[in-house]
Amino acid sequence: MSAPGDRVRRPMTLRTKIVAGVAALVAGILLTVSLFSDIALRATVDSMVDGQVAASLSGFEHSVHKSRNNAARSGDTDSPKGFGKELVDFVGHAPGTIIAMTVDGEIVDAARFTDAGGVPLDAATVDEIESAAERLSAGPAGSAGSAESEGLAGSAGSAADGAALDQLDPVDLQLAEFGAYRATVATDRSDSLLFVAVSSAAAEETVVAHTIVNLALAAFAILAAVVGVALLVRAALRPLSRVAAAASAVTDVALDSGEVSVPMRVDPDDVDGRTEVGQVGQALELLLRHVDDALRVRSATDLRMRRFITDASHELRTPLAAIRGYAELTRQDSENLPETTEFALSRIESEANRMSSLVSELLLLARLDEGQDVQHDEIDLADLVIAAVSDAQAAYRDHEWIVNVPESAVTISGDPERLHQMMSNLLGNAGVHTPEGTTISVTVTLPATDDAGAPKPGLVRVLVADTGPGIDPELVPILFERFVRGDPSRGRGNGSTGLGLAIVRSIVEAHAGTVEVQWSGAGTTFVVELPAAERPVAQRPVPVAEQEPSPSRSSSAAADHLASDAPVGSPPTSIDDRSAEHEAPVG
Amino acid sequence: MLAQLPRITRPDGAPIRVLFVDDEVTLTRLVSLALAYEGWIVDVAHTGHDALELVATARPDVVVLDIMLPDIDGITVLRRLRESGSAAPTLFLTARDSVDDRIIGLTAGGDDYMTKPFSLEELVARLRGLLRRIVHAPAEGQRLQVGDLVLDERSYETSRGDEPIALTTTEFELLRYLMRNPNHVVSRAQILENVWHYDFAGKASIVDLYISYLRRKIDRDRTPLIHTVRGVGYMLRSPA
Repeated sequence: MSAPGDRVRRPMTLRTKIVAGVAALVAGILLTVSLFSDIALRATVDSMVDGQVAASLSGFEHSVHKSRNNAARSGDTDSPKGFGKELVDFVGHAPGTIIAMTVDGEIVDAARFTDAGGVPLDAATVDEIESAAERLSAGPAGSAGSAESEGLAGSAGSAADGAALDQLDPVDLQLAEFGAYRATVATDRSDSLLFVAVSSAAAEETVVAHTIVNLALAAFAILAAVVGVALLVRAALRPLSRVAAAASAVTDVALDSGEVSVPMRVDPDDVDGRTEVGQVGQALELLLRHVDDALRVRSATDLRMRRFITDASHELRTPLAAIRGYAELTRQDSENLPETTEFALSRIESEANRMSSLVSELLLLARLDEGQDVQHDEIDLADLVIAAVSDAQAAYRDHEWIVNVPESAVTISGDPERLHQMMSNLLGNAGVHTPEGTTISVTVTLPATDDAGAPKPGLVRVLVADTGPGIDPELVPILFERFVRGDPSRGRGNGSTGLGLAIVRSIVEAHAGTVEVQWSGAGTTFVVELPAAERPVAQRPVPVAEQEPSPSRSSSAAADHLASDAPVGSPPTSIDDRSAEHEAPVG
Repeated sequence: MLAQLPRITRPDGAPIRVLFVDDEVTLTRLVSLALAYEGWIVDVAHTGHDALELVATARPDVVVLDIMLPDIDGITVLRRLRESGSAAPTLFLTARDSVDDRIIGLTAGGDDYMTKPFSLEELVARLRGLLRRIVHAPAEGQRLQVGDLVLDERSYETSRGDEPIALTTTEFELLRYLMRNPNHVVSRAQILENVWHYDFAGKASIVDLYISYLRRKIDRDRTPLIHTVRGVGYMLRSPA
């Protein structure tokens, strides 16, 4: 509809459009009405004035006849008028009326009437009248060219019936001193004319006053219409605003994560299908319900799927236990078995073990997906990290392990077993995917700092950085997906299930944290951020009793021990020698 | 490997009796075979009702109980078993292993919890752990005290202040080990070796798990006695 250039123009709201439209309509109607009423009024007033003109003229003629007859009787006929009586002495004329007589185009006498009777006219006005009378008298030759209305001419004509004189329709006359007049002339004798002018100032004032009142009323009516319509429209559109608010509230709900229903509904008052707004509300309500149903179906499918995975995993466990157990049992008699059989049994056992861990990991993921199955204990993450690094160090003896943790306790609320698994997966991943001799450093900071070094209060950060060859950039976006293997050649053979990093992400997210990977050219860094416990617990590392030389007096001491490949748990037995053979962290 | 550890018997020299309750015939056969290597007698029940009947006649020293049974679930079986007066330590063996399942199993009076698929070796090791209180007669027992925490090795009773604390067998063994070494740091490896008597293949986190159970029962809302020594292990210390 609109040209592209119009796009910058702000669109008018419906309310503005309606109000503006109604205001224009009302204004148009009122102005038209006032215009026609003005015209009608003016016509009425003009005809009234013209009636006065005709009456004055006929009275004037009558007086002139009478005066002439009197003059003829008394012989006083020297005056050019044919009688001696002054026009100012004439009676029967309304105040403001001017009468005059011309002889051969010259004014011979003139008078203006006031409330106190006739007064003579000043010379300037006399001149004006003279020229006006001349113009008027020229009119009859042009055969009633100045006549504006047949009706007026008719009424004037009937008023002058008694006289044998021609009378012209009145015309407007503007006098410098006395204002607006209606004037006419009539033939008196062959050489003289009678001139009459009636003031139309009062009529003019009436018309103007009427027009002003009309316009004021119209302005008020327009204002009232604008305000009234604005209120009405607002009231009428209010349900629409509510419907819009309901719709936009839905967009604030995170429907992609966990939430399986649309909690908002359109107000029941706004879904009445008999009104236009109600239809919109009804349509939205239907849409919401439809979305809600679809979400519910999807989440039910999702739930069934997860339950299926859980059930399938459970069902797989018993036969797996049997396979594993019988292989284990048979291998007890290894001296009676041929070497190939013993090898086959050990393969059966190790594959059954791998399948067991796969099943456990699938189950764990399914449960974490459901957002359950996480304990919340207050734990010192630094301690947990040190323990995990010492396990990893035992499993990957040819890597350099460095651990940096703060002196004070890094308390978070979480599931120690799961977090241990998360760390062990991350460290195992670093160990598997980097060549021997690679340095892997693990840093815990509280509070976390962003890349610019600014602290992020309430967050704890764990960095696992290696100086290895890095990750295939194509893998980065899908690194935390399930069954993604960085290096297919090293994948399945070493017990990797391809679920390790997916589990890392699930565990971190179950603790309301985030995990991401950064590749800087000098190595790969995994960044885990977890919320710190709300109140820091005074679970400071306990000073160790003197008889036991301890590597843990400070965290840097622990780090030194790790870096120098010394067992961390220095008291008599080391946990770690054994874990090397068994625990193959996933990647 | 199996059968390499010294044989254990009842104090009177009679063989250990195990009641194994699982509806999977393959598994019951397997476990019977494996435990026979240990010189133990295994009574097998495939339903909860059979199990309850067998408890009365066979008088087992230890019970291995599947939670999902065809008739009554393992937790109910255990409750009825305790009601009937049997105090035999019980290990839940189940395919369900969520935190909730585990807590239900342990709070229902189970002494240990294993999930399928399991290693026979580990099963035997855990059962041996549970059997220690039968095998080692209470003679050597004594009363241990750290702060207001008291553990009686003969009566298997624990209390803090005046409040008795109910511990599962594993928790009891763990606490006993810690209380025998008060004010000393014990590493996770030491705990694994002395409490579980079994190589858990670097699963030091099981220690953390049981420490967290113990803390809930002993230290919650009280002055903590169990302290974490970062990078090393744990220490039980009386408050200064």
